[in-house]
Amino acid sequence: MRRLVADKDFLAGTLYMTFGFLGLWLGRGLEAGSAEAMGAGYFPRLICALLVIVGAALAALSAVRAGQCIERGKLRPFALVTLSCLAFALLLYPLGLVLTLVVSIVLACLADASSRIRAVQLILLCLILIGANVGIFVVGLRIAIPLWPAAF
Amino acid sequence: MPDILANIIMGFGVALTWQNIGLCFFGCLVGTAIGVLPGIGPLTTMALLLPVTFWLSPVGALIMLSGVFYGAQYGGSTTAILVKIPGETSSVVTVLDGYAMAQRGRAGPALAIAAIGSLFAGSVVTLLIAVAGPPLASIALLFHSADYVAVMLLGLVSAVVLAHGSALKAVAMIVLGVLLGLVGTDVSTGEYRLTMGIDVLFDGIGFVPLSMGLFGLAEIMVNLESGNTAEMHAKPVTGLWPTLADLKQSFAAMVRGTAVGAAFGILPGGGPTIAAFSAYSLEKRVSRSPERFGRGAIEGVAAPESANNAAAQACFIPMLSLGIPPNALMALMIGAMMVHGITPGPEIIAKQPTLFWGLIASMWVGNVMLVILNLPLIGIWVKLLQVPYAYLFPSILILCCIGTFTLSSSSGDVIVMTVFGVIGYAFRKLDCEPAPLLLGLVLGPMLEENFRRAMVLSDGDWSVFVRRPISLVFLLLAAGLLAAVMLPNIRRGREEAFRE
Repeated sequence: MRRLVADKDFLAGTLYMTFGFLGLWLGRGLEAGSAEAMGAGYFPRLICALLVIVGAALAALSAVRAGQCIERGKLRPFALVTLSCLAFALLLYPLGLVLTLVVSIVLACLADASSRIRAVQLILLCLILIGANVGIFVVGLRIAIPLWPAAF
Repeated sequence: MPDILANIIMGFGVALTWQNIGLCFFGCLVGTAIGVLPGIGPLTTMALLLPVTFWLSPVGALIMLSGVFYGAQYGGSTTAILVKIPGETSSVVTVLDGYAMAQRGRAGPALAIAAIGSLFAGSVVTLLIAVAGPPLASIALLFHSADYVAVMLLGLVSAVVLAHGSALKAVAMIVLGVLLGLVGTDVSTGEYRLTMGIDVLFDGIGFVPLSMGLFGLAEIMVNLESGNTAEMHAKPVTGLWPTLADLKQSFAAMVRGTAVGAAFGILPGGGPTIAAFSAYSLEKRVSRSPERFGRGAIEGVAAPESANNAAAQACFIPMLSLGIPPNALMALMIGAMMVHGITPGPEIIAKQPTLFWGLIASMWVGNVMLVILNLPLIGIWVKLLQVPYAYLFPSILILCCIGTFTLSSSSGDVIVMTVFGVIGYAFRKLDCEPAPLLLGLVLGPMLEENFRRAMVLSDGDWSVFVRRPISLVFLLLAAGLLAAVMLPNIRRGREEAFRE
């Protein structure tokens, strides 16, 4: 049983089924209508049902034939890359572009477990990336991004 | 024929303006760079550049993006030959003979043949687009909505047949893509669908945040996890020019490679990677001395390198003449057109002649630029390989965030991107190739609209799909393909083609 649960195909099938059921549940209020007068829910239901069927087939097949087990992932790169992007999204308006970039870059560099990047190099990387991005997007393309915290 | 000539001249008029030459050069330069760098591919890069294209003319935007795409095919071969690391998946087979040649001190001729083969293939296929595009488009104008549904199904089915790995996973990935494409406002009823009440999703899931998350972020996570980030060192290249014997030996291989590449490029779901694999195995089969392959046979470089470039350019045929993307990269090009308010479809060639012919002419210009960029300047690209990943990945990550943000100046899109980064990572861990999802995402809304219209016109009669001859032909083709992939020996052949 434990083998099956860690099987790549089984997990993938389950994931697809989850998306299918999620779609069905989210679209439960949409009117289906009929084939000649389709409502907003007709096609989504069709697609979700198909996704559930394909996902179920994938999971069922994995129970019959021996597949590969999923390898153990590492939490650090995954979590810190995610965190770095979230930090960018959530901090940009309160902090402004410059400080947000510093936070995101530092978080990103921490994601690399093997790196022996030194403080001087990190500061240099921050300066270059801030310069390049402010130059391209704010000065060059004139996108309205606040540079500094709103209070200043 | 004189028509085509006049049109091509008009195209050059568009492509040879200073601005468009500049954009073409920029695209090719970026394409070569990311082709050389293993961690980042044309799909991510084109997605990254999408926001920048808002400020360009539609032709300029397409010229630049396509330059990135075929430029990457050139760049990918450089690293394959010099350091045994394919910069792109499409140059995986080039490693076999290209690196063997480099080991024997013949890196220069290998690089030169790769570039010459690419130029040859690029020029031939560009001509093919010019000749085949307009008639195809005029046939496509006869299509009704039922026929469109059938042709899209055919496209999706062959995407499954040609996809990497498990066919069932590819089906699921496409269906999931179609489902994600339905999120947002329903065009026919104006209702919000599957949005969970989140306002960034009211206009649908954006193409850019999705592809940056799924490809850009997930790639970074996987690369960091595997520790596959060490620097590479290449021996300096001496003596660039191939001998006359080399050229003679590889000419037939280039022609065959170009033909194989063009065929796989037009085929929905095909693309440079499978084209290169097929060209290599064909070359090995027709060779009088197959034992030389893998030990530095120059045909083994010429054939796949011509094929991948031919395929990269032949993909444009269905995209430009039918408005149907044959693969994820072309789906992105369609996205770029829609950003500029151009509806992809068979009308483009007639209604926007400067766009179509300008883009075609720019491909010739770009291919010539690429040969210059890649041969005399090879030293620069080798240096680029030595940029440590520790500096590269934070830069890519920041570019993904800020690029997504600029789309609609909303942090919401950045969060959507992050969510798809997490999903993309899960897919990678589960061996699910996410590229077919993008195809589904773009085709989904088109598929629904045409399906709905076909059913309304037929009063809900499903037999409309088999009663219309055009639609019937496409459906039979799709069924035939599906049946073929189920047959055990073809399935084995397909697996072999990917393993080799």
